[in-house]
Amino acid sequence: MNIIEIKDLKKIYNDSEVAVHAVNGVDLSFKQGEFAAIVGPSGSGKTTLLNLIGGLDVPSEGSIRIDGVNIGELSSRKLINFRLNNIGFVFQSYNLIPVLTAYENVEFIMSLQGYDKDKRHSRTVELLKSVGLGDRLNSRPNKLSGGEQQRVAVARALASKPKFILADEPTANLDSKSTSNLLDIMEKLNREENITFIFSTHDQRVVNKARRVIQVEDGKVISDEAIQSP
Amino acid sequence: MEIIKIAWRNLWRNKRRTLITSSSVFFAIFLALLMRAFQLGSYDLMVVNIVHAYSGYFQVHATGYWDDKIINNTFEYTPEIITRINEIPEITSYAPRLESFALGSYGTQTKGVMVNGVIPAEEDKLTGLHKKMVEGEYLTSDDDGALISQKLSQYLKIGIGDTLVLIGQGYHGVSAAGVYPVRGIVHFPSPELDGRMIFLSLPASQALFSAENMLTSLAFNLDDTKNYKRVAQHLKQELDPELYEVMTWEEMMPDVVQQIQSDNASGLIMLAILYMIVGFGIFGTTLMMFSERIREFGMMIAIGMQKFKLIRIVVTELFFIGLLGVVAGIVAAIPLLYYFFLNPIPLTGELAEASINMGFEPIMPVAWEPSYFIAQAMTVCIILLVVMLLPVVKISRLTPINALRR
Repeated sequence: MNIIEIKDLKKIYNDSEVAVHAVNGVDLSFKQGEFAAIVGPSGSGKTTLLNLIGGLDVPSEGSIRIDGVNIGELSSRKLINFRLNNIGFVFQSYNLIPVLTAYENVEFIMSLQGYDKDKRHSRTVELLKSVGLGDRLNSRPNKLSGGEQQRVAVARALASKPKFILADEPTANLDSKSTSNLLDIMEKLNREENITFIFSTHDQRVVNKARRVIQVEDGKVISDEAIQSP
Repeated sequence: MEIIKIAWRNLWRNKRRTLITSSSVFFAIFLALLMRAFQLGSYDLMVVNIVHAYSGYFQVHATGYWDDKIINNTFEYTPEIITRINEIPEITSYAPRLESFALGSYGTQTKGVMVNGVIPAEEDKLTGLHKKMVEGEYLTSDDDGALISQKLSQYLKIGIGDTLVLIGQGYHGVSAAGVYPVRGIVHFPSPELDGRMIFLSLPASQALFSAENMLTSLAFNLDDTKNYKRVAQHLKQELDPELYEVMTWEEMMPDVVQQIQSDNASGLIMLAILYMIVGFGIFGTTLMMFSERIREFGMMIAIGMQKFKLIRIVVTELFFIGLLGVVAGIVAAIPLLYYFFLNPIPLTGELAEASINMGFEPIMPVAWEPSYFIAQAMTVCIILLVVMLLPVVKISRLTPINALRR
């Protein structure tokens, strides 16, 4: 069963004199447990597509259904709640809350969901251990390396037990060792816990790990390939 | 709890800015408190001086007396009125008076004087007349002598034991004349009063003006001075308005009230300017903080934080900034103001002379009451509430995608 269904999705920007079709009639679907990469050159529309799937941006036309819910029909307030409970985000520039420690950043999501302190504590520790940061619980983001911050971001994205995680160029600011480390963690989570990851990237290392590669150009999907695991 | 924690930590992300903004609130509160304390203290002193120099907090007259102060506009000092007064527990003391004008003469010198028939002990309680004695003895209740103000005694060239002649018009046109040995000399700070005051015992004054058992006024003093208007109103309801008028010192001396009000208004304008500067300072800080953190706000909304919770964080931060400044300002001002409350600054030189000439003590007192502390704190709260509208509106309109693109 598909957890995401995208039908004839369009995003047109009319900010300049010429209308820009950032996403131009995309039809896609994603199943539970996919490890998919949306690739394409800069300006191809992959980040816009990811933002639309995540409900961060509003489509000009078309629909996105997540678990049967048309997110375009949700009010702003409901959409925020929907994102909280269904979608995990990993951003290119980590975007952790700078005044909170690694532990608090991960726990924060669960406190927004209203989980009790004991449950939050055990899951936060477990998640941070799973991304290899069991010894950096009390470090604030400015004391962590880029790779460590991105791993905290992954743990935070997982904290709410989302249906899928959207990662917008998650390795763009990382060195090769951190990239490899992060990808191994995400792949492990995908394989062992069946967590769905959708990346936008032009990093070949990410593409090499993906089991589905969606090529986007000029706002259109030009290829959608399933890759067999080695 | 999470919101408070985040807000508190956010404050210290940019320590210098937080401290500068809180300091601006601190200085505003501190200066405003000093300014208001001295300003209100000077008004209180003015009122106390006026009330205790002459008027009391309120007076009872025969209806129409205040507009036409003649000896015929008197009222009878009956047991009934005494009973009505005694039924009001807040009234701690009152001074019956029969006042009129006469010519005072000694030897070849003559001058128009104000004759005050008083019960010496009651008058002393209200106005501290005994303390104003500079020479001689104070009057007794049925004394047949007189107290004379110092400047007047110098003009008439009259001393203790000399006989003062008073000539005037008595009740219903009867001629009034009497001779009174000078028992004592009193000094009034106000040269105007010092140049014209004569005090007789009430019976002597009533005999002079042929107004037996009549009074021109009853002046009232209270322990709880804040409630004088309510007590005056109470007494007004007890007395027949056809026969009696009850007037507060403010009604009797509107010029003083006007003087206080205009001075107060200019003080408030100064404060408004001070607070406007502080308000713009906080506004600038908020604007800067918002611009710097807009991406972070976008991220928080993106990952599932409701906007109202985000607003609560920012509002709490502003509240903390204000609270730090307000608490520090009040804590710094309290010992200073309390010291000056106990030890008013003495005026010297021309300022002291001017105060004395107006009949006031030559000091700069401070008011010591919670009301102006609360007022200043409330003013800062209102400024903060207005400034808080900025993040409230901006966050309400924020879309995560636009914020994350910054």
